[in-house]
Amino acid sequence: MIHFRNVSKIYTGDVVALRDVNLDIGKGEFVSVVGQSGTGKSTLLKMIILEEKPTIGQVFFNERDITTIGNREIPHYRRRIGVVFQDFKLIPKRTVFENVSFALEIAGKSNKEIKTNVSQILEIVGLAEKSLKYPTQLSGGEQQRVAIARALVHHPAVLVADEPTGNLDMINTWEIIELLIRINKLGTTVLLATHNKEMVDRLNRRVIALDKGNIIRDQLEGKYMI
Amino acid sequence: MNFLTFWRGVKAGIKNFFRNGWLSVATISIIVLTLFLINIVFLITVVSNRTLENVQDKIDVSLYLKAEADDSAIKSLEEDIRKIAGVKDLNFISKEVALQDFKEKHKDDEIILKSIEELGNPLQPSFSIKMENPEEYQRVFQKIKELDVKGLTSDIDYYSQKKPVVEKLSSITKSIRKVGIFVVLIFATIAVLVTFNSVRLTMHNYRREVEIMKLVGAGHWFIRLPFIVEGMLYGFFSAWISILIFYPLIYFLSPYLNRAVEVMDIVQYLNENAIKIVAIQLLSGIFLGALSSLIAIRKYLKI
Repeated sequence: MIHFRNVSKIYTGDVVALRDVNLDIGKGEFVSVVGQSGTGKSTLLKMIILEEKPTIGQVFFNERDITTIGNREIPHYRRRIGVVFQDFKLIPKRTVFENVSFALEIAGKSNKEIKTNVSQILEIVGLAEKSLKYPTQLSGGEQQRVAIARALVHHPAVLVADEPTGNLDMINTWEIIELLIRINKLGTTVLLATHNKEMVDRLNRRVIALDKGNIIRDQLEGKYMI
Repeated sequence: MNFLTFWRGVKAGIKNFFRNGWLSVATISIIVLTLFLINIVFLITVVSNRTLENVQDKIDVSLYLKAEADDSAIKSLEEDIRKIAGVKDLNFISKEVALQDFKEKHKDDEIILKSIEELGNPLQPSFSIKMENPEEYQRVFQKIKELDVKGLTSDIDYYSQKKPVVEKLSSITKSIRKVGIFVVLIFATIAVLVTFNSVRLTMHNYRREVEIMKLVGAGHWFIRLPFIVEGMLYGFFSAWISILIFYPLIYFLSPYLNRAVEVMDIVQYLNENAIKIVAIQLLSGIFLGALSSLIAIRKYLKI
């Protein structure tokens, strides 16, 4: 589904973020990308959501080389991928429901469609009762669940999560991980960047370890080792 | 972008506009001032143009003919002159009529009347010519000289007396227009800068929304649209406010204005051209607003 072919990313000033990365991620996989800060985890994910383009190499999504996607096409491409960040990126002035419906509004969905889809996804993330609350009235874990709901509401094939539990305590972290596992079971490919060792070890799924821009390990039932 | 997303973008713009509160008020004040100034400059230009037209209309130029010129030759020259482009009106004044006019003009002056009696009729017949555009005298007279093969004409009294007046007035009108355009341009620039800054501030306030919009795959124009709508709304409201100040003010001042400006009835002129003036105001206001937003988008909204 996602393929990296000889991908390197060199930022200005000769800072190498990724070096000759080759990677294949299949449909329905749950992949954790681990490594210390600055090893290229974020760069790798940013290439999938087209926030960055490789300096050398190609990235394929469903057989299509996404590095050739033009500026105008990017919005349409992004609707096929859900993204979650460490800082949730919710709009404080909007309710939970509005934060999630936002993703469908911009895609031109009808109000009726929006209502059905948003209610459904809020049910899945367990926030149906809090749909009229504002983000500031929620705990960190709940806020992240809103963000996940927003990322999933247009039924993307892939969910990209960049340190989604970085700001959360242990209990909330586990809630989020369990949610991600459930989403994965429903058929969505999940790509998780993290440096939470305990979490990765307990997931017992595929782990890709990065160090200084190189893939140093890729194990199907991996542990957090750098 | 379908109609639904378009409408959502417009609604977001309207919401931004009203949420901005005092910022919107300040922005609108400056645009109102600009549009109001445009109105004043426009009015001054119209009045000065009318004045010039009025004076030009009153000015006729006398083309003197030799006393011995015979009637048929004069007649044919008259017809030739009528055909010249730019000649609005032509009157033949015979020696006799000229004498009568002269006597009428000096009826209280015994000495002049007596001396003219003794001289017989020393006056020359003449053509009194009016032009569509007095600045074209030179060209028209050149043409008359060419047509006058028999040498009937003797003298023109334009250059000596009337030309300086017309030229002076016409140059004043031109300067008024120039200064007016200059003032309007300066204020329009200020208005664009102020609107631009307001839209920029909105963008700053909404940078999180914009970032999220990008991530969830909002189209470029869907992101830009609310800011453009906001800019246009500044122009739209400013135009109406400026009209609502301008018209009552002119009505209120009309007694004084009519005394000062004799050449035209300003209130009547404004009433007759109301639709045109409102349309121009609205269009220029909305245009300035949209332009400012587009500049701000280009400069600050990195998509």
